[in-house]
Order: sequence, then structure tokens, then C-alpha cells
Amino acid sequence: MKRITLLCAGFVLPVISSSAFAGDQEVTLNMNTLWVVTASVLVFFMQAGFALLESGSTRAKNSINVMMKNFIDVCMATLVFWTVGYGLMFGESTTGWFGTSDFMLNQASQHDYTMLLFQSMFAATAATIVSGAIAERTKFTSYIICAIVVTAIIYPIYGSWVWNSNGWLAQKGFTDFAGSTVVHSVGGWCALAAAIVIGPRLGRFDRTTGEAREIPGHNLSLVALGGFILWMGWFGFNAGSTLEANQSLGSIALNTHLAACAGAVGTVVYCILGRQPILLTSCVNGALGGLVGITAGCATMDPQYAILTGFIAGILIVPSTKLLLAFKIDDVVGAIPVHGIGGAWGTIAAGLFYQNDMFNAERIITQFAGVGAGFVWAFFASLILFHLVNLAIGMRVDSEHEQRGLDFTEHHEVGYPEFHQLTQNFK
Amino acid sequence: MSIKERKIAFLSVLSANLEGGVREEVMRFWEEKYSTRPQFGVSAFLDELYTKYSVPIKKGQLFRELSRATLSAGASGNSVVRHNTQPANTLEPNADTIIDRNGLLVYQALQNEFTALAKPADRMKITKAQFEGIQKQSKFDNPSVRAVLEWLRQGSKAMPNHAELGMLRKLFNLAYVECCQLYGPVRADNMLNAALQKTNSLPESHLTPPNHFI
Repeated sequence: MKRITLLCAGFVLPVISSSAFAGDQEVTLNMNTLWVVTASVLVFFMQAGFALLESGSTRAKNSINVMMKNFIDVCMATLVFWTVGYGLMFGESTTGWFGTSDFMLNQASQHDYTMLLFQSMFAATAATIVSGAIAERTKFTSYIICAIVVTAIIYPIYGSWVWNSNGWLAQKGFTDFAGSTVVHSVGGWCALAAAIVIGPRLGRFDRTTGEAREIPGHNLSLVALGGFILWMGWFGFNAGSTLEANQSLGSIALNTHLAACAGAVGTVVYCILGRQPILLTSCVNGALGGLVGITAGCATMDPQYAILTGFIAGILIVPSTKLLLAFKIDDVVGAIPVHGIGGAWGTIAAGLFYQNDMFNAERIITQFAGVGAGFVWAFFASLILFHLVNLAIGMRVDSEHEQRGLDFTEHHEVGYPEFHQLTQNFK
Repeated sequence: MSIKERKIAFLSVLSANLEGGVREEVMRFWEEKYSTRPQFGVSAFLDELYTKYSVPIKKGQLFRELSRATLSAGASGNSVVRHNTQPANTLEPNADTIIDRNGLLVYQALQNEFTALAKPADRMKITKAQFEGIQKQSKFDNPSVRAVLEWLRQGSKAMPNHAELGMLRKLFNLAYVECCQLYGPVRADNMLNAALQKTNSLPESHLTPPNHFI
């Protein structure tokens, strides 16, 4: 009897343990999928943050136009990214420059679909960064065309260099965990090119002295609310980039939060020391700068360095905003300092403060190379794109439209009809 | 608004406000001289009416009644006559509509209110910007541009009988752009809103709202 029992145990136990192992694997896969989908939803919610922040930063007569741009670009970006972008970014890359498979992904594994969902949210984020910089003066249709090209070509090609396992920057060991450069700097440099091509808003700079004139946004409460929503979405942006539900989520989310706080504090300290007014818009941008900054190194930094990264990013926001004004570049929401400069600094910081391998010269040089390559590609490619669209259909609205407000002229709607003189014309 | 709709509106106001022989005379006068005209100014009609007949009610009251009736008949501006029968583009009111003298009076008032808010030293700069800017516009025909330039040069005494809405919009926009350059967009917007509010209170604005021109 004992023999029979032992024999049975000898057969049954391995079967039970192997099925238990298979069950564990499935649970892990399910958990990973659940986490990445949840993170995707959080990143999607960032679009609401962008929309509120940008809308609040613009004049009432343009608020609907800004909302529309944010609403439509996420739709267009997602469709275009599924069609072309994902294949270029994550498809099989033999050269290291771009992928050549997985276009219009279908009949793929569940993992691929989850990955596509998460990455399409990133693509939409890169596209939407541009809209804030060129608000209040851009033709809606031209913007949509540009957003499509940015999401279809400019963003995924750079993304393939870094996040495709065969990408040339990935091969060199370039670190950009959640996309300080891949998403934010690329978006920021595209915004810079767009702002240069389109030019400043009417009367933004004094004709004789060249001095910048303030054009306050119509609702700063929306700006603050947008900032908070972006902050919340960023937990999904950074922690979701693990692509699995593991124990590192806590430290990544903590680093994200610390850097955002330090970014806002950095801006406040800079303003106090510089005897400048502490503006709400600057504080929100400081926190966002901290968030952008930590995005590259959130998984590879100790908390104290996350704070330092965020703090410096927050400090950089104010002078870089002034630098843009000195060059007469009109960036309505500060997208270029926050995403372009913040992203570049964050990517370099990810190399400087790399856990257990700090100040490694080789790593830092690689980081600089990646940041430089990102600037050269995104800025010049988008500069050509915006110039071409400008020549073909024009990027900028007529001055009559700028006067009336783009809500009415581009969409025949107004955000605040009670206060809008034009609504008397409505039928 | 069609000629038929306008006719109904006018007849209902005239018959409600006048009595006896005067009513018959006025109605005949209206039928013979104005009812089939594609465009005319209400003020011009009333001017002629009051010089020819002794109408017992006040001119201003009749003007208001006629304005209200034509507005409620479905038009946002009786004196704005469309060239074509196509409905207005929902994105933007038609720029090729013709504005008559009543509308031009409103435009003149809007422009005056707007420039009155500029510093005296800058008013000439605004007119100069309009003068130079409108000459660069190739989309308007030469006689119209010349008439508007004359208007700018000589003021209200050289006001043309009619002008294209698109050109008036451009003309006003040139003033707005100049103010943006001089004072910044925030002050220019404030000036624009203040000018619109003041011009809205004019009786002529019931027929041609000033926001047609912005």
C-alpha cells in the first residue's frame, strides 16, 4: 500500500506543481496586463489635463479651439499610430533606424495589443505637446495634418532608435525609461519648430522695443486643475512603463511624485531668489518640468537624486522661458521649456545619477548623444514639415480670425456665450 | 430675409401704426417706390416718407417698430443683402454681402468708438495702417477700394452708398491689428469690446449689428 502511495505521489506531485506553476504564470500575465491597461487609462486621462491646462492658459475666445485640438489629436494620433507608427517604432528593425513590420497590427498576441494600447497613449501625448505652444493662431486643419505626421513618422522613428531592441541608441546603452526625450523632448522640439514657423500672436511683442507683452489666460483655475490631472496621469506614464506589475512600481511612483514636488519648489525658490513674482502658471510648469525630468530616470535613480533632478528641472523652466521670449518665440503654455528643456535635462540626469553607476562618463556621453540626436531629428524634421504645410495650405489663421477668436471662426462655437459679442450673430 | 418677408413685415408695421387716409397714402408710397427694391436703408425710406407726408407718429418710434419687425421676421440685418441665394457659411457670415448706408453708419460709429479709445497721437497711425493695408488687398475691386480710401481720407462726408462686408471687416481688422501692435492684444480686445457695446446702443444697430464688422 505504501509503495502504491509513493508511486502515486511520484506521478501526481510533479503534475500538481507544474500546473500550479502554469497557474502562477497566468496570474502574473493577467496582473501585468491589468496594470498596463490601467496605466494606459491614466496616461489617456493626461489628455484631459493637457486640454484644461492649455485651455485655461488661452483667452476665452480661443478656449474651444484648444479643447478641440486636444480632443481630435488623441483620436487621430491613436489611429495613425496603429496604422503606421507602431510598426515603425516596434516592428522588426534590421538597420536600427526604423521598424518594418507590425503595421496595422492584427492577429497578434494579447501582449502586443496591450503594448499597442499603452504606446498609442504615449504617441498622443507627444502630438498634443505641440498644440499648447502654438495655441490661439493656428489653423485647425493644418494642425491636424501636422499632428498626423508627428505621430506617424517623427515620433515613432526616434522612438525606434531608443525603445526598439535593435535601435541604434538602444544598442549604445542610451537610457530613457519612460520617455523624457522619446516623448517629451521630441514633442517639445516639434513645438519649437512650429512656434518658429507660425510666429508670435498679434501684438505679443512690442514692435519698437521688442519687449514681450503678457497675454493672460482666461482661467487659471483650469490651469491648476490641468496640472493636477497631468500629475496624476504621470504615475501611469512612468510606473506603467515597467510593462509589468512588479515591486519597482512603488519606487518609480515615489520618484515621480518627489520630482514633481521638487520641480514646483525649484521654481518657487528661483522666483524668490530672483525677486520675481511667484506665478501659479510658473509653479504648475515647475511641477510639470520635474515630472518630465524624472521620466527618463524614474526607475534607475535613488529618491534623493529624483528630488535633485526635479528641483533643477523646475529651476530651468523660468530662465528658458525668458530665453524663448528673448528670441521672440511665443510659446503660449511653456511647452518648450517644460517638455523640451525639462526632457533634455532629465535624460542627462538619468545618466548622471544612474543607480550604482553614478557619473559614468561613457554613459553620460551616450545620454548627450541621444538628447542631441533627438533634437536634430525632431526639430529639423518638424521644421521641414511645418514649412511644407505652411506653403501648401498655411499654418496661421488670418488676422481677422485671430481678432474674432478661433472658437467662432474655426468651429462656429464659443466657450462662454454669455460674454461673447459674436453670439448675437448666431442663428 | 427675402423681399417677400420684408414686405410683410413693413406692411404689418405701417398698417398697425397709421390710420385712415395717411395709411393708404403711405402704403401706396411704400408699394410703388420701395417694396420691390433689393436693398435700401430704413432711415432713407423714413426720411423720404416724412418729407412727403405728415405722419402723425414720431419718426424714431416708427424706425424702432420697423427694425423690430424686420429682425423678428428672421433677419439678423435687413440692410445686409446677400448676393446669392446660398445660405451663409456656418463657419463665417458671408463676406461678399453688400452693406448699405444704414450699415455703413454703424460701421462708422464702431470705428469712431474704437479709435476714440486710442491715444490721440496714435489715431493717425491707425488710419494710416488702414489706408496702406486696404490698398494691398487684391481681393477687392478697385472702385470699391478707391471709395473706401476716399472715405478714410475725408471722413463721414465721403461715405460711400454701399460697401462689401468683407472689405469693411478687413478695414476694421487693420485698425485692430495696429492697436494690437501699439498696445498689445489685451488692451486691443478691451477697446473692441467697449466699442461694440457703445455701438450696440445705436438704433441703426438693430438692423445691422456692429458685430457683423468684426
